[in-house]
Amino acid sequence: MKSTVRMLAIATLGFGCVSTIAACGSGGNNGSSGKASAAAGPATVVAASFPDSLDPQVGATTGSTEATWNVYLGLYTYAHANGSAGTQVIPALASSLPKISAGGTLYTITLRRGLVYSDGARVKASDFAFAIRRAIKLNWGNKGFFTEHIAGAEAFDEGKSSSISGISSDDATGTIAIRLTAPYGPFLNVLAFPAAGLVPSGTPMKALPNDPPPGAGPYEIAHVVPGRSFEERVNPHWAAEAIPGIPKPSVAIEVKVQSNPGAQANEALGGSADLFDWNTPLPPAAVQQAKREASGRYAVEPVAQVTFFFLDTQEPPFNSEAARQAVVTALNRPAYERLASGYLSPGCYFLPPKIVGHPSAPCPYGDPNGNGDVAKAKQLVRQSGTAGDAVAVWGDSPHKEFVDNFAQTLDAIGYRASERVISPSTYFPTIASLKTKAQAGWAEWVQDFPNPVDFYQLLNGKLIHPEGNLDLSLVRDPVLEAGIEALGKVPASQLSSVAGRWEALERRTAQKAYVAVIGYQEAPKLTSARVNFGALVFSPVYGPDWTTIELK
Amino acid sequence: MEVREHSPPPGRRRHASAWRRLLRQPAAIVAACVLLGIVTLCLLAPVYAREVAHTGPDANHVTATVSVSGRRLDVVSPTGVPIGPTWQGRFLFGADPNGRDVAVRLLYGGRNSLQIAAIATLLTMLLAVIVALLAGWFGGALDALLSRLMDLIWSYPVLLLGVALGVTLAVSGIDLGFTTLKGGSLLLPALIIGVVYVPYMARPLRAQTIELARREFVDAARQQGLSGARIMFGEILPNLSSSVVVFAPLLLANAILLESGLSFLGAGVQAPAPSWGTMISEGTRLMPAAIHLVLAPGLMLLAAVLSANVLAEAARDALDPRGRRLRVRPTAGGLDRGLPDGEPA
Repeated sequence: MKSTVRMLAIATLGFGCVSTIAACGSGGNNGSSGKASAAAGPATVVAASFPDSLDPQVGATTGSTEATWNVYLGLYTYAHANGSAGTQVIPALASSLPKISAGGTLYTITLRRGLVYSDGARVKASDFAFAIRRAIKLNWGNKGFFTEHIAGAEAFDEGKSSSISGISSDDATGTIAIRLTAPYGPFLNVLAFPAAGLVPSGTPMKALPNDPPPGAGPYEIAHVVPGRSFEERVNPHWAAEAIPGIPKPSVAIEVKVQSNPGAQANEALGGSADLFDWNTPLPPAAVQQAKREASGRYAVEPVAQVTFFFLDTQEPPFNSEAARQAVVTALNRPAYERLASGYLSPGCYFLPPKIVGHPSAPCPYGDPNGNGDVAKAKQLVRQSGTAGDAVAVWGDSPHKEFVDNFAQTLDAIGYRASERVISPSTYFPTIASLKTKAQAGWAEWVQDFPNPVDFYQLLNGKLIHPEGNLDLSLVRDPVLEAGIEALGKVPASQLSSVAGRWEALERRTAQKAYVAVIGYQEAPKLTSARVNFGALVFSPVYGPDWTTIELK
Repeated sequence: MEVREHSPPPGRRRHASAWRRLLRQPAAIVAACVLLGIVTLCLLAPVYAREVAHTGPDANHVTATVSVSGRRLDVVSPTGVPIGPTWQGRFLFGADPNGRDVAVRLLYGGRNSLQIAAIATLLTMLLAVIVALLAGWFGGALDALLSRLMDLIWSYPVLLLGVALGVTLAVSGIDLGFTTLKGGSLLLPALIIGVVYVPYMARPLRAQTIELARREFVDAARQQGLSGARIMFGEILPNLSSSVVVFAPLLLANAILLESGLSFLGAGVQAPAPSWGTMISEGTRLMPAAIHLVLAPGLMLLAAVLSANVLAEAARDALDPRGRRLRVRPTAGGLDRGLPDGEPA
């Protein structure tokens, strides 16, 4: 009895201490909020995790590119604009858009004059070839975009040559010539990767995540505390550059890691942080709070991403077009929107709305904002002669609820669905192996760059591989393949001229129901009260544009 | 003479007095009632689902609404927060993110958890008794081989071994020769749990077997010409029954806990089938906005495990009133390595 009383006393005391500390913490936050509103900077950005690397030729995650795209300018970059305008490639260190040869394989580019890095060194044309060599040597995650398309890059990667034969440059005139192995329309997008950002020749050929090299962008990285924080200071030489379309930052940035989304939201809502990490969905309770208390500084922004269920079009039951149409007809997309905590915009087309080629025509199998027509779907399943077939639905554990919902839809329309939910680390290698024979499953595609070609590699039968296969539905449609091949050669700068042809492919994809598109992910844009919310640009490619952060 | 003829045999008399001692413990009665209540409720899950909740355990109602006190409410809000307890037939304990009735899933999840735990416990008991009798009776090379096998299993932390086996077999299933267990089969976690706990029971029982094999009544049986198998199963096994009875509820409690742990980590019951562990796992994502998702299965788990443990303690006291008892108690990683007091290790 005595020990029980003692335990209760200790528990009460402990609870009291914790409450007191929490109250002190809360007060501290409020205090800092008040102080922050009077301060001129730096602006504090909270991130759910530390970028995989701050070295531009290594970093591949969205956390890394968000931080580095304004530090390491390449020859081209994206317009600092919201919405579709933000998907436009604009010249950065290049003086203009490239001259592309008639065959589409030779890009001639001229560097702007008088460019300097953040350490004061002169930017040279030969630094471009050096940066590409460095990205390949350091095994940048997407180096295939260089090795597969630039002549001689593959030989360099394999150690067969010490330079890339397809890139030549003249430091005196600032001219760079890039020869491709074959015409590749999105090559301008490839040149806009932060990994193609110029760094001084002679930068060590080793990853420099904690002491990143100088760049020629508006910011420079400083004070990296691995895993915890780093700063981005305004590049002291930037004022002289004055590159059109790239804003001059008004405030330094301090990035700190806060892995708990709830705490992260509290910091942004309370004012101790200025920008919430857009890669993390706001916790449901925080969404309510943001809508209630911070409606003027909270918005939901579209992301160039598509969420879908793939359907194996080569094997029963989904080798039947009617069976696939039945699945799409029965989809209750608003349910998935709720499963994604509201951060999903229902849709039926494979290309997200901000990507060129996304049709404006109505969906072929019902309103995507409707709850699905199960009765009609059942009828289609019966017509297809596949009723009662067993279907295994694959998914990774973070999207288990999606898989549960999809499996239940399949059951409801006449199939016998079972689930295969596995760890996210092994999920894509598993379903991308033809040996798995995955019949159906959850998938998403986040753009490498805002170009329809990037999305349509997932529907290109010519790219089916035994392992690492991206065409999960195993679509083998000669019309699509011919269209992708022809449109894939159109340079990114001329994309709008072929928007109608892409739309035709999109309508065919939706009509044939090759994939059951659920919708497009959205991201939270949440700032503190001291940030000029209206001025903050949300790039559809890299998220919040730090160069546009203005403090009141 | 008449009295002797009508007296029950010593074993039965011992069990009868143990039963009387058990009934004298109020905690044991309460624990037994709680456990029985949980089992009964779980067995009635289909009736509850059909007659009260009017929905199945896997039926999604994400975009549906429900009338609560005359108001229409979303089962799942547009921001993905499921409704909390309504304290009425539909969504009594609220809904989960897929709009599934938590009370229905709680009962079906309990069925799965208890079913797995019961099968695992029976499997452990069967294998452990066989291993203990063979190793303790025959000794020598067979004892060494079986003991090292037990050491090998014992050397792995139970949860890690369970997760490793569960994750490996969850998708592919396992071919046992005489039958194949598919990835989503409930028998798979039962098999895994049943096997990983064998050493915890087999080792103390083996020690008891060795001790019993040296007793006079076994010598007498030998001299009467009884075969080894008859002595093992006819003479020694009945004398192990007290220990087995004490072990059973303890193993059940630990099996329920391990099943929940495995399911929580995605290595136990596979979706969409519910279990208390998977329900807690799903609920953590929406903490603290929908705390009922963790609270309901958590409390159910607590009640089941606590009552099984109290029952085990009471059974031990009833069967061993003089304190000559097994020092076996549940720990975070499994069962404590206790042996009967004074028994050779």
